[in-house]
Amino acid sequence: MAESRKQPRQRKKQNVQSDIVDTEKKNLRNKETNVIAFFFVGLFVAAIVYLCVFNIKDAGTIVNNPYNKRVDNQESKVVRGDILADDGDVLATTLTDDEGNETRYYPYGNLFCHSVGFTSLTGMKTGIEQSQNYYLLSETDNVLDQIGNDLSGGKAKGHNVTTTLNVELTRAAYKALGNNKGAVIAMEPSTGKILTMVSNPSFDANAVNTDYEEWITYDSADSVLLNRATQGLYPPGSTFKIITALAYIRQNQNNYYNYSYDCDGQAYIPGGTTIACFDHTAHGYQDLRKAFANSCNSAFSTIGAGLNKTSFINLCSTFLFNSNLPVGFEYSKSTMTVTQDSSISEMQETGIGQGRTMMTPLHNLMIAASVANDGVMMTPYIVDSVSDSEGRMVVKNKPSAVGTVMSAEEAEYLTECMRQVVTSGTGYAMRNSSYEAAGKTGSAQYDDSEKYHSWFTGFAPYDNPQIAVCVILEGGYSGVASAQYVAKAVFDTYFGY
Amino acid sequence: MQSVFIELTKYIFAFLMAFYVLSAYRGAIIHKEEKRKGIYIQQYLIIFAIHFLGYYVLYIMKNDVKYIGFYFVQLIYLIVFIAFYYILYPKASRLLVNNMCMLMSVGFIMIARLNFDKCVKQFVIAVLGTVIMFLVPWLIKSVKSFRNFGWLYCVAGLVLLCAVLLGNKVYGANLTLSIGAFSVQPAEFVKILYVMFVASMFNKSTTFKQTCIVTVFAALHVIILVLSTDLGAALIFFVVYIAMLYIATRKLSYAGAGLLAGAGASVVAYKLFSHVRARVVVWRNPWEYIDTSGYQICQSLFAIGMGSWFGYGLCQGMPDKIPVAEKDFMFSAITEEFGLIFSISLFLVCLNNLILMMNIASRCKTLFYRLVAVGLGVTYGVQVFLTVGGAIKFIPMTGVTLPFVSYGGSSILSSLIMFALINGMYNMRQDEGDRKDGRKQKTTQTKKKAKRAE
Repeated sequence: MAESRKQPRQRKKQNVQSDIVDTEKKNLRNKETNVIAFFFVGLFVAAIVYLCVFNIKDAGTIVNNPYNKRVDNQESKVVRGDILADDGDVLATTLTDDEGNETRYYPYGNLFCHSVGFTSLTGMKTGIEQSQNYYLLSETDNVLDQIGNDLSGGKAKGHNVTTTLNVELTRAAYKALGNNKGAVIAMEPSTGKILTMVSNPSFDANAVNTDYEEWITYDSADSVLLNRATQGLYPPGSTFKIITALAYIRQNQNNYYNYSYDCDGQAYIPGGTTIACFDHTAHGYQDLRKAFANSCNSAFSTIGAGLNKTSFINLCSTFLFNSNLPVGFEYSKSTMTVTQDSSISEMQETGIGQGRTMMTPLHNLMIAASVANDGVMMTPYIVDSVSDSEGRMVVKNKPSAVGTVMSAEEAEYLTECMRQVVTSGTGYAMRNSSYEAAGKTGSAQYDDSEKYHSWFTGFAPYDNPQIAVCVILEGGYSGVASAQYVAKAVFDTYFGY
Repeated sequence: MQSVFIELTKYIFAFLMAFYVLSAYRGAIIHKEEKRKGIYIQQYLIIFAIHFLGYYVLYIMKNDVKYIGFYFVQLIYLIVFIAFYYILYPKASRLLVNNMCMLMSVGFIMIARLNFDKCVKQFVIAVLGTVIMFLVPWLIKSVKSFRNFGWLYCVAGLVLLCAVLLGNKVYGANLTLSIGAFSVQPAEFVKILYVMFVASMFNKSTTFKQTCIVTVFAALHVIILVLSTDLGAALIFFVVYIAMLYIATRKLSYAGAGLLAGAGASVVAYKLFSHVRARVVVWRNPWEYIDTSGYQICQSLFAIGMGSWFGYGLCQGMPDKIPVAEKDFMFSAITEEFGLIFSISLFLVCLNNLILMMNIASRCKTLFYRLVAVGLGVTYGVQVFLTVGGAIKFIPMTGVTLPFVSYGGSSILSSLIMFALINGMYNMRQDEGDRKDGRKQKTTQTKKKAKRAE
């Protein structure tokens, strides 16, 4: 009722306001159609705003995707940008000869073949060449410059990508690995910047167009294309004792420093199995720190068997086992198979990093770095910034934390443990170095054979960590005593030897 | 020099389209026919310029004379289209006619760019549709009893929808019926029947009982569509019903209640049907399903993101990377090559159509015509919103086409008929309504109102 009374009044107002041609038609003009029209105006405007925000804010990151084949279309218009080391040294560039033929050139050949990757004439891409493909082929954002490029008909220059990779460290790591299969990865614990990432066997990225067909015929154990630092899955061996020790500390918050174990070289647990220490060494009376420093399997397998499975599984998932890592490059997921139903022997083995746990050097590095960074795990990243051909910054990556995986006190305790590994435990290689390193060694058995992978994961200086390193040497290595010597070479280079 | 010109065309396209939108909205505000003359001329010029440029670029880039031939055939068609409208229905909304031509030109360019043969097919059907189109207003004028066949529309519509539901499967959604060599999408035509049905029922009365009956049968349409996984059409039918209910009863509360009920029904549908859930899951994170169900939408977003403001230029992008680009993802394909300024302008032309249609509806004298106009207008508006919103991931994909622009015989035919109906009614209003009549009607109306108010 009220509705119909309002109507004529409104109409009167309109009569006065609008011109005559319309007034006569206003007799049936109603507000309902206006309401509907405005409703749609609202919907459409919302969609347009969304679209503009998408284009300004999200489009740049979304289109940077290997599934986006359109980017390759840019190659006819844009000369691929350069990939640079942390100090601006060129790691990849495009050479154009007099006839306009382009060749992608990698000045360091094998050194950055996995981290920087390659781009082949067939359009295949790996590493940074793949992940930053969009930026490398992007013209300057300036519309006027774009129009200029369009009109001149010449090719525009793509964006340059500055990495966090250091040439000297990479060279040292590569040299220290020698002919052995394995990987070295290092990062800044406080930021997550990856300083070097080397994997062996490697290949000359300049030869991709001629030799790629041969490379893919190698079986996985010999594959040169596999980036062992991020994709290689290995049993963590004793390096996993960092996690086991943390689980024990959490479970015995008030008396873990009273831990005591008498090691006679092996440990048997009823219902489980017998675990021996390395070389059946009897370590004697051990507190937690000593057991850690000596990498006492008897102690840690016993600790493993006594762990509360629920808390242990939770701890492992905080440390990103069985989950995706927040990194912008290819990697493999680490696996940890302990469940509520796991047997005692599986818990014993898991406690010393054998069992069925598999992890990548990258992941192991993230764990050591989180100890170094007061318990805050940082997201590893390899691309520092992207700038256009005029040098204007397009993207600047900032450090971001994955999360706090342990308390500062826990991190401090584990740091002391890892320091003791170097000062009086199994990590003797760096005992006399001028920098004060901390770390954990590991010898991981695999394939039931007598061979083992050699691990080292650690950081330096222990009281003010600036670099964290993780090294794996695959079983059968020679020419180097163990992984810790490779780590030492990296530390030495970093601290200026 | 030539390549420089080709590079320049994308900026010309964007500029022309933006200018066209301005003129379209100025036209919608100015009500004096004489003042609109200049606007019409501007619009004709822009339409022909864009059409010419489009085919010129196609000819250069594809290096094939057939595009030139096809251009002239289409040019004649456009001229005949506009001229016939002008001669036969001088009082029809010429703004609406121009918008139609604009959208069809862009469609013809883009479909020809994607697939020449399909464009020829589309063009033939458009010509056929135009012939029908010119009959429609005449039909409206001569047969006044259209408003009395409500149940006939309802039964015909439901039978067609059921036939589709039981019929063959295409792309996992059972949307087409094959009749001989042709495959028809009945839902496109049932839209019109459905609007006629609801309009004629509400035209009779809007008592609570009648409203309930109509609601039940309207809901039946929607349910069949949901069962045949045509979620886009289901949503269109639903919103159209709410809008028409609102016009008929003039009660915002009814519309609100309807929307609430619709929200509830969506939740139930989400829980009940896996194909509804699948759409929502893909919408929320298509990147996770980029290899499978998210492939289309991801490619669509790449196309839009890469196109950015000015696009790649016609024939320089890769719109064929999007599956069924010429149908559901026409908007993305256009954005990729013409850029966002152009495609947003195109989107605004569609909105302009809706506003014009609501204006027409508000000036229709009888409730039946007004209901039909609102129903068809809202059908159009929702369809545009669904297809564009889906392509840009603003809402989940529903798989509907962009009227007049997308490829699809049923789509262009039904769109032409819808616009013919609306324009036919607009033409009628002006034929009957000279000033005196208008005044008389106004006073009687007001009296009636006053009585009701007492």
